[in-house]
Amino acid sequence: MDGLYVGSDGGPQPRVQPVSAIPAGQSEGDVTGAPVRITDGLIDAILARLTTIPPERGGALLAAGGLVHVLVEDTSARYSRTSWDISAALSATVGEIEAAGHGTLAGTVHTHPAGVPDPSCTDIATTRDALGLNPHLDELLIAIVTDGTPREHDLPVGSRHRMSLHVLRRNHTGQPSLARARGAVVPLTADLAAAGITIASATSITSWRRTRRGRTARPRAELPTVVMLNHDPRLAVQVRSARPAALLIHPAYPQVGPIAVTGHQDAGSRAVLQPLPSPWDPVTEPGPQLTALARAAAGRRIAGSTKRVWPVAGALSGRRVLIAGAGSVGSRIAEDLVRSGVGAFTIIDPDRVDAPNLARTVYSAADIGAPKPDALARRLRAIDPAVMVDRHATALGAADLPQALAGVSLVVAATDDMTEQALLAHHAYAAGVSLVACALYKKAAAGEVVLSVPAAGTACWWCAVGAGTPSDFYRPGRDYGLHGRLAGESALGPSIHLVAGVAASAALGLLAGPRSQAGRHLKRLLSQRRTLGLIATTPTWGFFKTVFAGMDHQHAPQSVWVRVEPEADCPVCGARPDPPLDAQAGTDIAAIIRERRQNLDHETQVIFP
Amino acid sequence: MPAANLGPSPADVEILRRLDPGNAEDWTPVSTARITGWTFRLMPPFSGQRPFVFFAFRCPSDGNAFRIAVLEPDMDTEYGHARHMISAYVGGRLIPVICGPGGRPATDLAMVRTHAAKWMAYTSARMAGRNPGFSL
Repeated sequence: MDGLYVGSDGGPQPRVQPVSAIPAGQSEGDVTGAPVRITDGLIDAILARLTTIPPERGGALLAAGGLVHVLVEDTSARYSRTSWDISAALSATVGEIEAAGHGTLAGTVHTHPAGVPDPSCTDIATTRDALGLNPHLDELLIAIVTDGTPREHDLPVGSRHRMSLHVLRRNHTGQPSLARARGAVVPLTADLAAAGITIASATSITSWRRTRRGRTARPRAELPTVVMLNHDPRLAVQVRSARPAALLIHPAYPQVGPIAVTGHQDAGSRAVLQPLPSPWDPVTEPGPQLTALARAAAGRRIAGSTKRVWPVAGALSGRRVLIAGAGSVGSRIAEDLVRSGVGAFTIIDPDRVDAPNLARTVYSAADIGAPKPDALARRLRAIDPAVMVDRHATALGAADLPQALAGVSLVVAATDDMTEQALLAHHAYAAGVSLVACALYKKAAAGEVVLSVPAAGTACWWCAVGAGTPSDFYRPGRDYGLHGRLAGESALGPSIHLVAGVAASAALGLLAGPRSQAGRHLKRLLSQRRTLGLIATTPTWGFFKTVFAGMDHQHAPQSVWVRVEPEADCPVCGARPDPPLDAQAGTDIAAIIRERRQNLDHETQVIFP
Repeated sequence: MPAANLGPSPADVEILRRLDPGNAEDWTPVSTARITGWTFRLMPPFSGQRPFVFFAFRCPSDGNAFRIAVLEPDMDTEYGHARHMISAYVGGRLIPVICGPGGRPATDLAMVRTHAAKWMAYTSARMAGRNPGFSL
């Protein structure tokens, strides 16, 4: 071969005349360094495009961060029985492909006649010259494909060919020296294909020009684009989806896993990528993991996942549920809801996952230290990649609740701050949004579930269990080191889950509606105003031992549903409701406190000059 | 639309007539378009201290019960009476407020006065270098 210049400016460049190869007496160095990583798709492309056209055929190789992944076939070259005369068009085309972001020049590959498995002097001289004309490159690869059984360090190409790899690298004096290199095939294309993703590993001068002119007859797999992520190049592989979706492949794949991303167009029509949780285990089979990541990027639900819930609850993918409190109760309910097909969540919780959470929530060891909304979102997406989750790692009182409630079908109130629970319940009732509140009593010996359905005219949360009502007595004590939130109680997870399960069942019933099998049982409770459920997880809790005295067959769990009527003067559900205190009210109160304190200071100065 | 603010309620006034007929505690209504409340002063039990001044306002989300902010003295960081003072979000702002057992707000002005007096007794004793005898 002879004559290759590629510059990053992409313009046509003058062809380089061949120069002398390795000086007399200089031999190729030993195999050194890390192996040259080449995708399996590129090997297949070399087999299909180069070995089928004897005697010589060649092209340029492009790489991303050390992963060689694209062949640009030189369809404009002059080929003879013993030479590949590199075309000027190849230089220009590679420059254009570089400029289009599909990789950077890594070297060349071409076939040789049988029995010549290594580069010729002309090959080396041409490459040396190309390296000299491309000062931004530290090295160039020379790959030679021939018939025959692979020698040590050769890569097999199909069943009848082999490819030897040689690197012309600048040494410490800036002079290039040649060394044989080992190769390693990266099974990227096959793994992606198993996940239903097709990528192109080759183009040609002819195809590239045709594509640029929009003359392609049918859509083809696209060359991956190289994007920089934290100064690290990644191959962006598009995932077919209704929304922008891609996998960002690390050059060290499969040792380092891809990142699933989705995206949207900003006001300037630029694609803004949003990375999604992308778990990856390098020691397990990559195919299913890639499939899961592609599904996450595309936001595709697994077909049939709600097949056994749908007859009971119907389609819930259009519903959004606000989960306030992502602890042992809220996280469990959220998981039940997503498994039943609820399509969107808003999660509000100011805390991070801590070690004691592992005993009673849906979190795992990898979540320790993560904000609970992030960890729960990860969990929900692992179950349903299509689920949409808005996360708010903030206290309820600091959140913009009217905005958070917009578009919400149901609120699950599961916080350990009764003051904030009251605030949320007020906002929800004022917005006409149904609410299921769940709280555990001391030692999780029992718990309560409150149904608040404004459209059905039920009582609000405050009327059912607000401060001063009997249920307040049963709650855990306050932890004043946590601004008065309820203290964490020693209790078994299953006891908590019993009560949370009742709440989740009620939530599904409200979401599915009174005509559904899931909602049918709630009709009587709501019409009779029995909206406070007391669920005992122990056989002798509270009044149950009196109610069932002498009935030895009775055991836990057991529940009663108490009738709750709206208080006439209740500011939430009474005859003349007041709106929740809004941001302006907060400003007013802060101003009153500030001004009165200033006046008091002035008063003090007057009295005690 | 916010509900019309009707100012001090007749029920509040009735309670105050009974609690403080001569208004020695300087109960003063405070109202804005969104807030209804009262400021008042209590004399601390230990001499040499200025009156304690409080601002109680109704919170609709808490069943229209009162939350109580301390205007004077602003000493909670020094003599924190934590079991009877919590930080509550009001209109998105975190405000330290005096509360009853279990963080409860005060359902009426009589309870407001009780909560405030207890907090004052505690804080006044601590300011005087005395043992309040409770809630240490």
